[in-house]
Amino acid sequence: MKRWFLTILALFSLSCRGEKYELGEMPIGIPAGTELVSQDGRRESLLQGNGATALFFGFTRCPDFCPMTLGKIDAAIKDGKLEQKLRLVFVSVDTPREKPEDLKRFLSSFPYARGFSGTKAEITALEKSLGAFSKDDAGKISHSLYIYVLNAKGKAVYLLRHDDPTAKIRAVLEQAAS
Amino acid sequence: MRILVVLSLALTLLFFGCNSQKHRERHLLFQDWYVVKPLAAGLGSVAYGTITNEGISPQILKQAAFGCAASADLHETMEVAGRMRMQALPAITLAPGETTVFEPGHKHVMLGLLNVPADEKCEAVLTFESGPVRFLVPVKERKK
Repeated sequence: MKRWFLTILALFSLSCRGEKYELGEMPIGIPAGTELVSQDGRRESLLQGNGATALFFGFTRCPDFCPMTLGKIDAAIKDGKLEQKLRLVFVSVDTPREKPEDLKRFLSSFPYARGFSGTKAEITALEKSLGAFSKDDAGKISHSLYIYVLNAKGKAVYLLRHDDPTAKIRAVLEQAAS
Repeated sequence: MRILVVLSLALTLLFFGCNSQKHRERHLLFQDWYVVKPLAAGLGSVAYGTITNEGISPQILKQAAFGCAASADLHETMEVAGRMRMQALPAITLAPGETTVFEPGHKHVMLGLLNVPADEKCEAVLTFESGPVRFLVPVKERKK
């Protein structure tokens, strides 16, 4: 009985142990002062304050991948109580169609998130600075699947994937925000 | 102790059994279909579920329509060289004995401009070469 109890205790403590990830400045990032048109229709800096940012490319007409990934990031942020410590930036790659009000509505369930759009040249420059790429093939849009975790300077410190477990997303975001 | 284990197993089976949405028609089994509640009013969304071809001949899914959506299209999200791409599927062939899964990040039914009914149920019409199949699907929050 005692042995069973100790085994269960050991398993429980292992499952509760937070995994640590190697976060470090990568040679990609967004230049300080990078501005785009926000969901409120005015030009704003993508980076604000001294906190970390999770940046994700997508578009509001995307019904599957973008809400799925946002849902995962949301679960991770809420699990880690990171709403006040981290900024989620959603950058639309649908440059000809996206309007600020679409972004605002799309992100209305995520109060800590901020949506941005811009000209094709601005979005391409931002993507290039992060090693990302998107393509609009007659309305069939493809875009980067990564969630770029940036430090306060805008340097990427970790790249998360949409299919990473929520626990890993939470752990990386917690580390970045601490 | 044994009674407790059997009882908890029975309750678990009962719980999951009752929560599994099934519809059988034309040798096709439709399971666990649901429409994802949109992120906000006036936005599109998506429907997921599975179809098992229980017959002996292939079935071809040609189109989808959902009563609560302005449009419905068969789509697939694919990962190509570090990017996600969504493409329309003109038709989906379901081989005999196989289950085709519509799930996040893969095959799905893309729904345009969703109008969630008060009872949060939506009629799905999946049209195969052999004819249409109609069934009700719930509108639910996205599964995490």
